[in-house]
Amino acid sequence: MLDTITITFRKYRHVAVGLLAFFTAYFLTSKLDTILIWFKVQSYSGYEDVISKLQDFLTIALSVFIESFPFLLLGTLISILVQRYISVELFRKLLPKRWLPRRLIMSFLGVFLPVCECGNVPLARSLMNRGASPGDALTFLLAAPILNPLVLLTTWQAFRFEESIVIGRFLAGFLIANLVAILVTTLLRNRNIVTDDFAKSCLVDDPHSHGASGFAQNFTVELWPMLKMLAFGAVIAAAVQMFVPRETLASVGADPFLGIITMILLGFIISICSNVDAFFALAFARTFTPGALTAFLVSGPMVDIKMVALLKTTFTTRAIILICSLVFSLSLLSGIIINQVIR
Amino acid sequence: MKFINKSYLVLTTIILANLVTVKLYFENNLTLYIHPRYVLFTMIMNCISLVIAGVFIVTMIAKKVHTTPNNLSLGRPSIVALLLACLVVAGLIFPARSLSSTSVSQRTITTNIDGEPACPDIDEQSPPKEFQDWDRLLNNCDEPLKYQGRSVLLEGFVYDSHGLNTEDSFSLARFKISCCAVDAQPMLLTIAEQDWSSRFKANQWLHVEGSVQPKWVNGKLTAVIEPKSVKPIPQPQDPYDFLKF
Repeated sequence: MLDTITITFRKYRHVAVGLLAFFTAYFLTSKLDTILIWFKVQSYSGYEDVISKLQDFLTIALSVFIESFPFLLLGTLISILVQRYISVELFRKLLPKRWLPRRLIMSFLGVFLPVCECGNVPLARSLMNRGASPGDALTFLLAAPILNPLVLLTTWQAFRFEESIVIGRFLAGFLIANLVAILVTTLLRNRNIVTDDFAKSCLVDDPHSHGASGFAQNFTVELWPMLKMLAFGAVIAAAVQMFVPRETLASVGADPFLGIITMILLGFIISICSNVDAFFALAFARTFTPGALTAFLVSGPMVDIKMVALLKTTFTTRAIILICSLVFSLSLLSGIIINQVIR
Repeated sequence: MKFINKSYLVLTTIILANLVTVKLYFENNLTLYIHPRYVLFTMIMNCISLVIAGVFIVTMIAKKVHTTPNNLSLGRPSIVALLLACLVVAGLIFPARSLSSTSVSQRTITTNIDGEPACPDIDEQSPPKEFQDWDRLLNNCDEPLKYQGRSVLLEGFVYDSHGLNTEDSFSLARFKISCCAVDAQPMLLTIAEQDWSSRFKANQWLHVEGSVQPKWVNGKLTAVIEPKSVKPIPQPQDPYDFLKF
């Protein structure tokens, strides 16, 4: 009997230690207030501020994670459906062979999938898995968060008093997505764009992926790398938000040129969903120029901290750096043009 | 055998990540992190994910799966995976909290503009009720006498800013949210109250009843709230104002 207990304990000792650690942590946190009071008496006055900062950091990190997670789940589900029910042959038949109409279709694919930008990453992976070129997938990835009906509606609602921002966002979004895809594929050649691991996974079909358990297995394998990177992006976005005061950014708002750079930076840091970012930008309408607001609305959905982390699952570091630099520069250019046009 | 251990770990982490949202929902705390418009969608997707991960784990146990095709690698254990596990465990064990006044100073104080006049007349049929309504009216309008005498009922927390607060006035703050806590923007309204610092402390939630009055604050004539009563209250269930659209 004793032997059986000993063997069982040895077998499951990791689980036992894990559970013990979990319940100890839970007990300590349930008594957090008491512990804080004790520390407050024993410690210095700045302690409360540090605790408050840490709590806000956790709240922001969790909010990015909880808000983006369902979109990532939806994107993963759609991407698995694409992989399972659209064969490579059918995909080739569906897409035009000529470059221009194919890129046009990729640019407006977001019209049928109005989800947040992070949900588009698994879908872009499945498009490449079905035979789309990295350039096609990149066009979709950059254009879809802007060129979709939900984003059009919310942008119009927020900026109906300044039509140039609405038109500028969609025009610049379309042009930048296509230009970046062309430049990245030209400068890096197709094989240096995606990571080796992802390229290999596109070459092999999974023989065990049939039935409900196969679906569940595909789902887990697709979701896992992106879930990890989403958590990473959420933590970095929260850390940057806690340590870079927005006041610093807003102080240069009035300058037409620096204002555009500031809003592009803010879009990168804030990692907000493209469906509602127009309402966030609205709050800056008094401080910043229309060009700066447009640059924020174009650049933010294409690349932000959370997206860079997710892109890392599929694209090479070199490609990501190039994508970010091109999106930033072209957004800056679009902001300058809009400021010139409506002056 | 190694894969099976890792698969269980991966599936457990995914399930725990789903449970963070489910736990917050049943505690009525999900809106401390996301806008209410996302709650239904978030819950549906998390439940679907729970079912799928559950199916996988049950199948693995039932079929005694010990391996997986090589091309379906789950990757090597990494710091990033550990970070995910820490975030998920922290979400499960730490009590849910809204943003504190520490974040007010981190974020630009901005006011809304939506193409309408800066000082609109108040619609008597639907007078301003929420904090964001008064923020829009009082902080956008350059005419401090425009809303003089209007009754105000507000709930917010004390923002202890040395630059803004004086001996006889302090800032009442509340966050407004358009998507999730990451885009929370602070709104501030000035409350004229003698000797406030001895009665209230930073972060304390207050119920303020009073009227709008012009007053000289920091050398500028400002529309402030002259309270009839100021009562400390516990933090409300919805501490944020959610942007309406």
